Amino acid sequence: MEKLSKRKLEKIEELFRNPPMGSKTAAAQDFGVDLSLLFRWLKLSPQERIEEARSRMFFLEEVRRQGELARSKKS
Amino acid sequence: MVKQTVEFVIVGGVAIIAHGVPYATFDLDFCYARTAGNLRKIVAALAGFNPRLRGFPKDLPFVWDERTLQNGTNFTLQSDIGDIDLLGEVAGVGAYKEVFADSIIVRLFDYQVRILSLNDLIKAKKAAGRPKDLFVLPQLETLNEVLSKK
Repeated sequence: MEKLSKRKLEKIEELFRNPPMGSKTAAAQDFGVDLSLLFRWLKLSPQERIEEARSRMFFLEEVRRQGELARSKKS
Repeated sequence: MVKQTVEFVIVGGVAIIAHGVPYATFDLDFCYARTAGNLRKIVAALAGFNPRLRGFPKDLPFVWDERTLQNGTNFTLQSDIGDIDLLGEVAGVGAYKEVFADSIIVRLFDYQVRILSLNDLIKAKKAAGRPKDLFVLPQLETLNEVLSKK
């Protein structure tokens, strides 16, 4: 599994823009799935997706750490 | 694990991310073959990272060896390189043989590794049935739908 082809991505972008009624994609959109975010991730290779997730997790961990620090200063 | 030629398939959040779902995960889940040779390789591969049972007191005796792996199926571990779940079977899919059957190869950080297929991830999440599993289902099903379209 590598990066999706430009042609495949164009097809998916179109499906995400106009999800067919009754499709899983339409159901996901109704559920609240951000299809634009999903599409942005589909443009990446599997490794790039993992690196992106890892950097976000580092960010979340830093937010958590700063929160703890702020709480400990308050008390 | 790859260097030790361990037979494993990545099955959890990392597989979900690799397939293309933006998802937060803090552990690495493997399904592994429970042959004697593979257990030996797993023990060797992780021995240097101080694996121990997650959520148990630090002073609880835990021996990281083949016998320990033989005596259980699924292990939730913490280690010096992070949390690792070793699963002998995946709910909704089966044991290593079934997990491997439909798995796909991806290239990650210069290594070729196997990850659970989208179809099997959907089965596993449905079987697990926890809110966090059900929450990710619409995204997995969307990917399955659009990626299978010609």
